[in-house]
Amino acid sequence: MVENRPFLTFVAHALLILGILVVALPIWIVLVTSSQAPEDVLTAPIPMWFGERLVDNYLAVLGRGLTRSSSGPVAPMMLNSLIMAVSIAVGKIAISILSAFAIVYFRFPGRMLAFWTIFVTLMLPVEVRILPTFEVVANLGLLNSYAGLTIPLIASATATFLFRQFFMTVPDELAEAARVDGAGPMRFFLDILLPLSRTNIAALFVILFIYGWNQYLWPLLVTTDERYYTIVMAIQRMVTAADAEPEWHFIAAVAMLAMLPPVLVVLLMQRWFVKGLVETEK
Amino acid sequence: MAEVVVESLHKSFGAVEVLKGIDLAIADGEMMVVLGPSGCGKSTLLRLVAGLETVTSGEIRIGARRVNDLEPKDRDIAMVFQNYALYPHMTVYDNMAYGLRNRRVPRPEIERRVQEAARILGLGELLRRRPRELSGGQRQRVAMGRAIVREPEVFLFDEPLSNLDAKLRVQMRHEIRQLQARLGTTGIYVTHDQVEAMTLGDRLVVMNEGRIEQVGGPLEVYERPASLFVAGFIGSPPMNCFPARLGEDRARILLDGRSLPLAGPVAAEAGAELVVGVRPEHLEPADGGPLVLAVDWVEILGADTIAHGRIGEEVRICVRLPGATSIAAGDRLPLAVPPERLHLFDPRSGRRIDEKA
Ligand SMILES: Nc1ncnc2c1ncn2[C@@H]1O[C@H](COP(=O)(O)OP(=O)(O)O)[C@@H](O)[C@H]1O
Ligand SMILES: [Mg+2]
Repeated sequence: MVENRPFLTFVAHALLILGILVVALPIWIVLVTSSQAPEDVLTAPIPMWFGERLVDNYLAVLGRGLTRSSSGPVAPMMLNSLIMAVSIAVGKIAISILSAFAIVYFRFPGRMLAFWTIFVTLMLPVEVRILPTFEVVANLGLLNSYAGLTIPLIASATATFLFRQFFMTVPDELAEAARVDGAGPMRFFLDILLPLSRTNIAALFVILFIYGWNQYLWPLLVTTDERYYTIVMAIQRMVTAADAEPEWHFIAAVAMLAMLPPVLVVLLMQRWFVKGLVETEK
Repeated sequence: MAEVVVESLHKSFGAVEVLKGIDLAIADGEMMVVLGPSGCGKSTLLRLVAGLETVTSGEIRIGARRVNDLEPKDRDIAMVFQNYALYPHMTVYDNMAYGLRNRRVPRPEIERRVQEAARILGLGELLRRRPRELSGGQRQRVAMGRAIVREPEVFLFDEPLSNLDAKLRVQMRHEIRQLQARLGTTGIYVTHDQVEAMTLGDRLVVMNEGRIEQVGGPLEVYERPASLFVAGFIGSPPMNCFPARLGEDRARILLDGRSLPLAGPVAAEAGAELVVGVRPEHLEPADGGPLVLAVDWVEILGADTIAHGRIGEEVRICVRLPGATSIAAGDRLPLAVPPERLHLFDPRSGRRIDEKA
């Protein structure tokens, strides 16, 4: 066994490195492609090292847009995506935490019915209810608006279940102590439940931000005005540009830009998690 | 400061009646301990006084005010919970100040009260810490501090010491007692621990299955238990109880043909069936004593010895003897009881039978 050890270590590392390569190689190719001149992208061996035009390409897609596929600058699209992702994340968290608060801490008629109704929305993602939802949004005149982009995606309180489970682990005595301390229901919510939920909120924010950022089908349906395009749908439009060679070097740059914010959110929120963990652990 | 009065209080959860008519008057500044086995409704009683549960019927008054329909915050009470219920994300200071802030007490006044409470409870160094950075005893003190800064009319304690280890419990018991006496605040203290109850209370309420069995001072409850339940619940080991018959002169009891004199005639019919109670510590070894104990096992505890066995055919009793004795299983130990140490109970109602007036 002792002789075998270096071999096992080698195999383990080889597997890990292979895994990383499988995940990282496409990203590397996209990154390298985004730094090339258009001619170099299309010549036979795909370039594996950076070209000369890294900064140029990124400045071009951010500021000017793609000339051949007549797509506008990407910067405003990223802003749209950001607005959409943040609205969806914040909106869903706000709705979910409030409805979980109502379900756990108040006794009202139809409480369990409300809970199960909310629970069922877990099984109805946008893709399933897309036609009726589109109809409603169109009738409300919300096509080509941020409201139309975000509200239908917020409207399912999927995180309610998560918050409900968390609230049920909070001891009842805490709510009672707050009541004796003269805190009304909303004070209790703001002063005690909300701070206690912050690691949960951070985790959900990451998940929901990425969910919102990566929305593709819905923005494609409800926007026809370029001012409301999101970056994810823009990539697709660039690839399928009518009767023109796709400008792969630009598209690669846009893809890199589209990946960046979710990565940033994960990194930033990770620090929050660790903080939350360290604090509760002490 | 205020008296607390509870009148024919009933509480049901759905079809289950948990409190079946409680009448109780607690004097201003008094420490009243509510004692009873688990599930008898002690916490429910306390929570009704606190306003955390709604009254099914009856009345609760604090001071002269009927508080049935008041929110907890308007009742002028402070409560110490069994698991402390400190706000985990707030510092010790904020935990104590939170109730005052909600009440819009001016900031300098909050500062003054919290510092004062911290001084009394020895929490001065810990004000910036969070509950998880404190030991059990320190958390308990913070919970106390949160109650005292409110300067309430009534303190309510729900088994506040049951999560502490035995040594700390004795110390905190003493501190709570001193604090309550010093502040002169009326207190209601719920516990299932009779030692805690005896040492802490000005008076005790012994509860069983949603009813009050007896209200009285600690010694009174020990010396004149009002019912078989109280007799069995207070004292350790519990009181020995066995059936007997009242003699013709109503001043002696007959047991297996032997006769034990009572202190005087009692208020029951001659020849009536009775239950006799006698505490293990009140049986004394005496040559030629009327009760002969066939010892079958002995517990030597150091300070005293407890001998278990039978008298007659089936009555099992135990005796507490001071010091370490040489009694062993198989011995026959003659015992006597001073007449005033015998308790008589009605076997049907379980109530105490008193001397004839
Ligand atoms: N919220 C509630 N709903 C239903 N039953 C309850 C509730 N609170 C207490 N009970 C019942 O009431 C009885 C007395 O409870 P409690 O007052 O907590 O007893 P304890 O004397 O141990 O403090 C128990 O049988 C308990 O199951
Ligand atoms: Mg209890």
